[in-house]
Order: sequence, then structure tokens, then C-alpha cells
Amino acid sequence: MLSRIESALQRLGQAVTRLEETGIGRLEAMVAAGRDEAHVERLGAELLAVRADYEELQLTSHKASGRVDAAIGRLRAVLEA
Amino acid sequence: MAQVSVTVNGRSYQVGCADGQEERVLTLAKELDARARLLAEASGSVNEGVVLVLAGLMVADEAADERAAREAAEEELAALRRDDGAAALQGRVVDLEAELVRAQADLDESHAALRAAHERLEQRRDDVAARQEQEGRVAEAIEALAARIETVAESLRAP
Repeated sequence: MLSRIESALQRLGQAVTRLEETGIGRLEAMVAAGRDEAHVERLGAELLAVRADYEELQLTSHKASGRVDAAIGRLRAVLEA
Repeated sequence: MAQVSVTVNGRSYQVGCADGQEERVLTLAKELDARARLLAEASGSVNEGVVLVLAGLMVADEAADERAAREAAEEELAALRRDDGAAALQGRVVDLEAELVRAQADLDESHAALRAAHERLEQRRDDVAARQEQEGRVAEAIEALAARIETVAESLRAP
């Protein structure tokens, strides 16, 4: 039986997978189309906040942590390109 | 049965005795003779029968004194043995009291160890409870982070 932390980390991993699978492509398309700049700006701010909270959690020893960092990094790269 | 000739107060008597007891009978006869002569001289009686009765009474008196002395000695010995028994019992009581003190000390030590173990157990329970509470807070934070990432993913998925 998974502990509560393991269950939460599993959910985090699944959320990152969803973000990687669909989010990056959609974000690239939105940025390329130059549409809804306010929405893109809110997304950028939210991603920054998520990264800050993630770093505060100090989950560096868990396998999901690298994926969170990488996914957010790619999203930020798209936004800042 | 053997026959022994004994002389009491100047007169000889043939008496029978068990084989091997001749010397003893002669010795006893000498004792009786000594008393009979003493009584005959002291009383001046020439009646042989009276002298023998008095000598017999003297021997019986001596035997009664000896018996009384022996009984007194036996009673004294029994009392001493009782005293020895009481002293031994007292010694045993002292030993048991010392043993009781040692047992009480061991019991106190065991109680102290038990209390210490109980305190350690309580501390461990507190530690476990604190760790579970901390893990709960970390899990909630991770879940909140996952929810926010899900929200971001959903907002990107929407047309």
C-alpha cells in the first residue's frame, strides 16, 4: 500500500506527463500564432509560481522531480523564445 | 547361667548371673558390701537383714539422686537445644530479611528500567505521530502542486 506521500508523488508524475504530452505542443502553437497574449502571460506567471513551490518542496531525491523541472523549463523556454 | 560367690557384711552368698557378667556382679557386690559395713559400724546393728535393707535403701537413694541429676541434665540439654534452635531460627530470619532487601532493590531496579522503557516508547510514539503529521503536510503540498500543474495542462489543452 502506497504511503500518502507516494500517492501524491504518483499524482504529480501523472500531471507532469499530461503537461508534457499536450501542453508544450499547444503552448508552442499559441505562441507561434501570437494569440491570447494575456493568457500566455498568466501561464508564464503560474509556471514561475509552480517552479518556486516545487523548489520549496525539495523533492530532488524523487524521480518525479527531474521531470517537473524539465517540463516547466521547456514551457518557460517556449514562453521566453 | 554362671554362679558367683559374693560377700556382704562378712557373709557369703551364691548368686546366679548371666554368663560374662561375673565381674560386674562382683564389683556391685563390693559396693553393697562397703555400704553394709559402713551402716553396721554406724548403727551397731548386728541384724543382718536390717543391715541389708538399709544398704539397699542407701543404694536406691543414690540411684534416685543419680536419676534425678540425669533428668535435670537432660532437661537442661533440651533447653540448650531449644535455645540453639531459636538462635538458628533468628539467624534464618536475619538472612531472609537481607534477602528481602535485595529482592526489593532488584524489584525497584526493574521498575525503574520499565519506567524508562515506557518513557522511550512514549517518545517514539510522539516521534511517529510528529513524522506522520509532517508527512501529511508534505503530501498535501505535493498534491496541491500536482493540482496546479493539472490546471496548467488543462488550460493549455483547452482550445
